[in-house]
Amino acid sequence: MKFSLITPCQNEELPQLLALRHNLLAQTTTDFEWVIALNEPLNLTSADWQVPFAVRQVTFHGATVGAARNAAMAAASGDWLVFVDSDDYLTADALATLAAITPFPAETFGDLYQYPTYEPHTSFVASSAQTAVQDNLPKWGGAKRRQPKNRAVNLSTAMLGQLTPGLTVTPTADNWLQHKYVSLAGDSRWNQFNRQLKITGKVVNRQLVQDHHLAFDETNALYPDYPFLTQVMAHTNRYVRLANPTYIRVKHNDPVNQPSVHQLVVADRWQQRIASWQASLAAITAPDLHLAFSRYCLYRLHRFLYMALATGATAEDPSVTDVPGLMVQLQAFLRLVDETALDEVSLLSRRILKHIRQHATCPQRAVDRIVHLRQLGRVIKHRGRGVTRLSYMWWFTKLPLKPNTILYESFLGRNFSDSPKAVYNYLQTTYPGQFKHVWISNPGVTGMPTGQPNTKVVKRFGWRYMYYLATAKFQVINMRQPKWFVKRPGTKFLATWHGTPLKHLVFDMDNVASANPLYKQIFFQQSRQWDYLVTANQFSVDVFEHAFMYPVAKMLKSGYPRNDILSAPGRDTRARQIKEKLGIPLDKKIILYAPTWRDDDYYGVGDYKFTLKLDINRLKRELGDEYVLVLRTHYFITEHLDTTGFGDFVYNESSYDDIAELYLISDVLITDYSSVFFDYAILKRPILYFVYDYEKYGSVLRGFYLDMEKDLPGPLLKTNDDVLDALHHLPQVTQDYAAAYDRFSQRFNAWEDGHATQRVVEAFFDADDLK
Amino acid sequence: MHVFINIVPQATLDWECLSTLIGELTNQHFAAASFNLHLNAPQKLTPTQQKQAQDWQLTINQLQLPLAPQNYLINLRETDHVLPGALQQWAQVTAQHPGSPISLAAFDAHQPLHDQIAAYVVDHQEAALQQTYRQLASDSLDNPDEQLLTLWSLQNYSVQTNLQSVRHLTQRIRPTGILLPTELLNPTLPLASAAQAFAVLRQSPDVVRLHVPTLQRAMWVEATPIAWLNELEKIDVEQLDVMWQPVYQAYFQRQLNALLKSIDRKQLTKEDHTELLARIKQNTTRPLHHWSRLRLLQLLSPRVAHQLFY
Repeated sequence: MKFSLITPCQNEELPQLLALRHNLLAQTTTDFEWVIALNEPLNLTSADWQVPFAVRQVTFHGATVGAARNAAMAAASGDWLVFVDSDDYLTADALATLAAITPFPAETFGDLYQYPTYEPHTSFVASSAQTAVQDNLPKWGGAKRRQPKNRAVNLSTAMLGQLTPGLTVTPTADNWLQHKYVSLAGDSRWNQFNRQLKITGKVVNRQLVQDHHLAFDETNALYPDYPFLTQVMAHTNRYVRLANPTYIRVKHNDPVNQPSVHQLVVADRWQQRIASWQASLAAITAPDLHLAFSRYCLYRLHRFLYMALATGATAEDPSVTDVPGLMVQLQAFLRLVDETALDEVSLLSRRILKHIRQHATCPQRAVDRIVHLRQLGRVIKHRGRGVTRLSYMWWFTKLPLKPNTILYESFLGRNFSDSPKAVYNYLQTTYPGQFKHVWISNPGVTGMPTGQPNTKVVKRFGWRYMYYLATAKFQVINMRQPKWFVKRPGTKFLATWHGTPLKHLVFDMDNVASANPLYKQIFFQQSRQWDYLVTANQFSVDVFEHAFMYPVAKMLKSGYPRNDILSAPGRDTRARQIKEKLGIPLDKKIILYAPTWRDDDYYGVGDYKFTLKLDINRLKRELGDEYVLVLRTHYFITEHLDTTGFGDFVYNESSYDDIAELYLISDVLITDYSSVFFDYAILKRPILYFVYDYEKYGSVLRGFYLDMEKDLPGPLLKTNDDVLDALHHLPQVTQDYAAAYDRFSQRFNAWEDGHATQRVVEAFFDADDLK
Repeated sequence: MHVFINIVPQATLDWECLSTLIGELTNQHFAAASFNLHLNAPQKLTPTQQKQAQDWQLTINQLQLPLAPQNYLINLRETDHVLPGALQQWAQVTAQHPGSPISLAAFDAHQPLHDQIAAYVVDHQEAALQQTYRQLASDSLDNPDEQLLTLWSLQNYSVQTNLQSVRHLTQRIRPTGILLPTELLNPTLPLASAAQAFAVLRQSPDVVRLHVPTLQRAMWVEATPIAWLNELEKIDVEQLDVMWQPVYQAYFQRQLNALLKSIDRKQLTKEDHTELLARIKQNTTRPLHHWSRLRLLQLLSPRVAHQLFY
């Protein structure tokens, strides 16, 4: 048996263990056994487990991953131990590539070359199935600058025949040319030290482990690997890493529900880390390894400890508790550290470490100073960018609150619209002069309420923005606040959100491969700062409860303030005013076309994303006498769209601030997978769904909360013929879908009675605030 | 994988160069390769040359490209050189990442190959792959074969998806020296043309770049500037998709600048040079950098520019 794969597994990780089994079945060699350390019984005799390689299960005492690995190592019978975690996976040629390397002496420390990703195995398998390429890897999940860009090319033996006859290539070199790897030995032995100190994907000789009684630390739940790995390093003379990545390490993007060991919130994380370093360092006798490991540890202290110790350290690292105890522990550790390594640390940092080593106390002022200098250094490095934010953190958040100031933001400052606008208008009308209103705007945005009484418009991320963000007592925001926003005591935050959810949100998403991998965690932290969340219907309440993990008690079951205009008594007069403002003839009916932006689609040559699939020429020809078309699309589509030939038939209102006003003037809506139809349905006017790529959109539709086939209040139309036919026979369509429309309205618009804003304002503001 | 190698004469066919190139190719003993010589109408082979071509299994203007997947076409000039082991290296890459055009790094034709390989190896002596190989190698780097082996040890490729990067288009749009997947070829365009390479690029999801040189060749912009400008002008900007139009226009202006820089090496006649300057001036679009040659050319007549620059 060549390899023994060592996989520790907790009971709740069983599904990912099954995914790994599926992955191992794809290996191009079967000369390995799989030793699983799991305390829950596995039925290895069942059909699922009849695999072409040996599988063994071992149980272990205690609950630490170190104990699990030790138990599995003791049961292994292969020549080489390969450490594979249950949530990770291997490329199909991983073990075969490793086996092909000769010679591979026992004193070699092997590495399958770890490649971090956020893409789980199932998703990678699905994407690999669509391509013929052999070198496919999942989406990179590490730091951008570290992404391996180049792949080594192995050579064929035929090439050697082209060299001068008689030239001798040693068998080892010949083997290497065909199976390239990177070897670190001699002076370069401790290069890539950080990489060498990660257990997953490592390959160690089993006899070597037995001979030297090497084991993981079973008492340290978080850091059991350091003592084992440093001893393996001490007993090997060469580190061999495959030239191309073959070990895919899956990082967890949901630290709230599915934290990895490194993401667990543990009070004594730093204590455990230092204890592990200390035990490892004490056991190292070789001076060069001692120096290298000292450097490794000191760099981590220098890089991460001060931020955690600084006064006012926030969510970055909440795990430093018992600072005096940690200092005593650090003192003992720093006494073991190589003096040369300590002298290499930068001056300010070295002073702190030496202080701790001498006095076992935390030099708080020095720690705060180094943290502040780093923050300032970052601003200087970016040539002043971020200086307003720094001022916010350092000074503005220390100023007293302004009790009557309200800060509004709609779509990240892109326009004056949505529910914050409705709340603003209501307060201005009902409580004039009682509040000071501050609107956030991006540079160049028009339509902001500049010049209105008691109203200021401030530039997003500017000085005044930071000042009001820190001091305004009330914040009304329809998307998310900045990640670094500090929720001060006494302030109130109203999250109005911006629509009934159609596509899966945050915690309901399977995989967030394209967004920030920490999206879920960041969203969770941000939504904890919301005092109230406005909801439009019971459906939204139910969805937000699991998708945002937001408490129902803090949701306002009010309906959307932005939609009050659609039920207001004077809506017809208002519609006429808007039509006049836009220059649309009053005698023409209006079709509103609002498709979604398909940002991930490429249809083929000459058929680009921004092609409008609706046949405007035909619409004009057949309906031009009776209708006009108002377009509301992504700006990228409309910028490239030539509407000159359509005369006064097409009105491009994609940059019009308030979409609710466009609903009001239109007589029929054509849309597809956009959530605009929830709001439009309040008007009880016909809705058509032009879904020309419905089949192609299948995978996306699976991520919807609604069943597009059953739940919609209008017909799904796949061709322009269908659309025109429906437009020609609108009364019939309305009649056909009357029952579905009623059901839909009942489900989604039951709360929209034109008084949502009032309910929101009365719930959000205390009676004292409104007096 | 089968490689169709289409040899396109740089000007009038240089038989000696062709013999060298065919020798370099056949010495690689790569079975899955076939060779074709693309001769323009006035050029003909002598009977001796025809016999020689038959011996080499070199077809003349008879390139048959079966539409089987994973076949590749590469256009080469007879003045180009193919380094030992090149075809096998291409095959290794296409096995890993089939279906994408492969842009090949190359040494310069104006300097001795041996010196360039030696300099390349020295430049990359810190690379982990080379360092590992040097631990295992038996011979010193003074040996030319050992240098070649070291060059092979460094061979690597990257898969690039930034197709619209103007900076990289020089590597991706050229009539010769790129491996083009045959199923992406456009039958309405000449096989050896910048337009063909550009059409393939626009259809492909990514481009593979083989980083260590496997060819030695002269740049079109330097060796045949007029032909290069002809090639660029044949690409019809109006027919491009909206997203590609600005990219190509920016690239075209860059190439005009590159032409201006490279044509002062006195390989053109006075008439050709003046005409080329006139064409460059005519094709230049604003805005221009204040201190660029293109800007200066706008202020001068081509005749004066010729006297100043040449």
